Amino acid sequence: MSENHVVTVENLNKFYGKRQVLKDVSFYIDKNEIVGFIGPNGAGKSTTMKCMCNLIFPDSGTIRICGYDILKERDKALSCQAALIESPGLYMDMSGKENIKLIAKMRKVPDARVNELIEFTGLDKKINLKVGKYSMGMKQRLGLAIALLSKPRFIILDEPTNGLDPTGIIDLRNTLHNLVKEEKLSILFSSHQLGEIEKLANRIICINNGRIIDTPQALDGSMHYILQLSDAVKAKNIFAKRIKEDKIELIGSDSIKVIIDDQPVLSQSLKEILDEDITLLDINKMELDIESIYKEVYGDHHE
Amino acid sequence: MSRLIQMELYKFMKQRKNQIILAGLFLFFLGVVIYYSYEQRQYDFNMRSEMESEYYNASAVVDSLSLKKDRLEKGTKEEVEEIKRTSPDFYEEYDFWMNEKDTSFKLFYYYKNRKVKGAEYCKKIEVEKYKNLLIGWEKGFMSKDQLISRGQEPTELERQIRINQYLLKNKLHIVDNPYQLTGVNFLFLMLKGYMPMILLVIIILLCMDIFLSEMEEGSYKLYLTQPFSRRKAFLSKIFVAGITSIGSVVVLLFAFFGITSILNGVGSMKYPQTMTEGKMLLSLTPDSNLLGKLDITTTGKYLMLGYLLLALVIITTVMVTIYISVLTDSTSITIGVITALLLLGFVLSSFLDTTISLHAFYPLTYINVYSVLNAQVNAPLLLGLVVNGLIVFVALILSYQRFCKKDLLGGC
Repeated sequence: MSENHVVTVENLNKFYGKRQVLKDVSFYIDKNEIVGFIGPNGAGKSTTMKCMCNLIFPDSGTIRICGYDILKERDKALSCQAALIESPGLYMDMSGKENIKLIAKMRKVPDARVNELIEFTGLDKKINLKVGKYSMGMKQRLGLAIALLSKPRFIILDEPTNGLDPTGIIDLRNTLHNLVKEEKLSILFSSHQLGEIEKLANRIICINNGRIIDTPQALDGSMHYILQLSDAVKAKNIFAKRIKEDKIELIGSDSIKVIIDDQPVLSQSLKEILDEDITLLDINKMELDIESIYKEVYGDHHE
Repeated sequence: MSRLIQMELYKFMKQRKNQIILAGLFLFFLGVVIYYSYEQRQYDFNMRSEMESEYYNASAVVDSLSLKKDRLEKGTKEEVEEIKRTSPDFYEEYDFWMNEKDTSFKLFYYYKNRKVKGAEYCKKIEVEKYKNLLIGWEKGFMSKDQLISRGQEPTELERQIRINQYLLKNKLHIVDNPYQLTGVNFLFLMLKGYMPMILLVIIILLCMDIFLSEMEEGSYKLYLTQPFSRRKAFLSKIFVAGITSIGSVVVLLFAFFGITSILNGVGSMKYPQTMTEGKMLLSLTPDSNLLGKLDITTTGKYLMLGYLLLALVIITTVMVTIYISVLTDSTSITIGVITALLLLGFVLSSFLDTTISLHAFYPLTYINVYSVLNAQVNAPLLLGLVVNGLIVFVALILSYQRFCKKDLLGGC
């Protein structure tokens, strides 16, 4: 395990009866990293996250949180981790303040920190209302405040934007950005809002059918270009000298699509094309959004 | 661990449902006191009415038998033969009903004006009447159903005879109103009839969702991702279930014992009660009479054994409820299963012959504490303690294993 890794998941396997829902799931999360966790429904996101919280027991594999094995040193591992799994699991018959104080008492959190987080919720007088009367946004903020009580080094957020209105989503995004800066946190979060993942995550982990799949190239810093040329076939051959054939695609009779990892490759190829008297009619850099990546990876499997 | 227990208690007390049930439990105790106070005041009137009714009933039978007697003494040979053939014990039957008529009238008169005769007189007449009824039942002059409909089933008659004879023999101060609400008698009455069953149902409702509420509102995701083991979470929940169920009952029993003692006096812990001599049997015998022989004991000892049995049955039912709730994570299934078990207990105790051995092995039989201690059902006390104790142990182990090892998938 690298010293920089806050979380290491290795070869996680989980069966429900005969159905294998996690297949050798392995990944890591570094310090101060926000990692998006995407996959279609039933891909294994929540199961993985629940395994990381010790709500579900894996059949094999290891999960280390801050260096502690969650199965063998549960208390220590959970001491440096907090989680909001699906909706915030709050006590509805208690007020927001009572919820915070309950967990604070259990974890011996000083009063100053409790007051700081009561302020963080921004609920003002509503902190004394029963949680059952809160909106989803208020519950999320309260849940986040409770998660932050004991200054965790790592937070799991399973679909934290569920049920939030646009303002709530923007608030949450800003809050998480600030938390990473101020509290030096690492975050693993899943969401159905792919745009939010794009805006928040430094890195993305994709899971499908219980297996971690290769991260799409577009998220590895590669660039996609569409070039319109007087002789597209000849230009394709020129690119093929420098990049693999599977990264070049002929589109119609006059265009090619290329995926380039290094900028010099593009410059050198373009120079050679022009030297060969091929006219470059148009060039477009494709801005690949996460939604198209999602489609590329998962096809028509809807979230 | 102590912090977890405090937290569990705090959560328990914060739940509106639990606040309502605790208020309901208090009202139940209050209701019992009010009910028995009313019964205490109405006792003489009710007994007078009962004795009057029994007197008129016996008179009607005696009148009918008198006609038969006339025919037997003055009728034709054929008539005499016919009566002798159909009623071989005619004179015994006639004497039985005459005695019933006579004792019913004497008791009616006693309850109409207590000042004329003392309580000793009443007990003597009662012994005579009850002995006569037992003879009538054995000879078939009166069916068991008739006796039960009058609240005088044979085992209860035997119990009354035994106590009255003991009181008379030892010249003890006689409490001539069974509903006299002294502190001690309040504790005794709480073990009678449907009271323990009602108490049990309230306690089940109180403890049922100690594991379920968090699963249903999703707060388990907060609670069980805190840095403490599931073992500690389980033990603290079990501890809280135990102290809230038994604790709330004990507190209320003491409180109302105090209130009734202040209002009507403490009463005597040495006052005689009956208990079956077969109470310490661990095995069953087809002969229910072995259970049926009654010993005289003190009210103190009776209450001690009675409440021990009640507490164990309550703990058993709470543990079984907890196991079902941990197993299913569903309130509706838990309520369904527990309701079915309670109904089965009710059906067995109401409709199954009391001498059948099955009673002894069904743990909820023992909720009828009064019947068990007085051998009105074939279920020895010691066997009840063992059966319930074993179930508590097994349910505890199974619940622990299930809770500590189960995957919490949510979405109950």
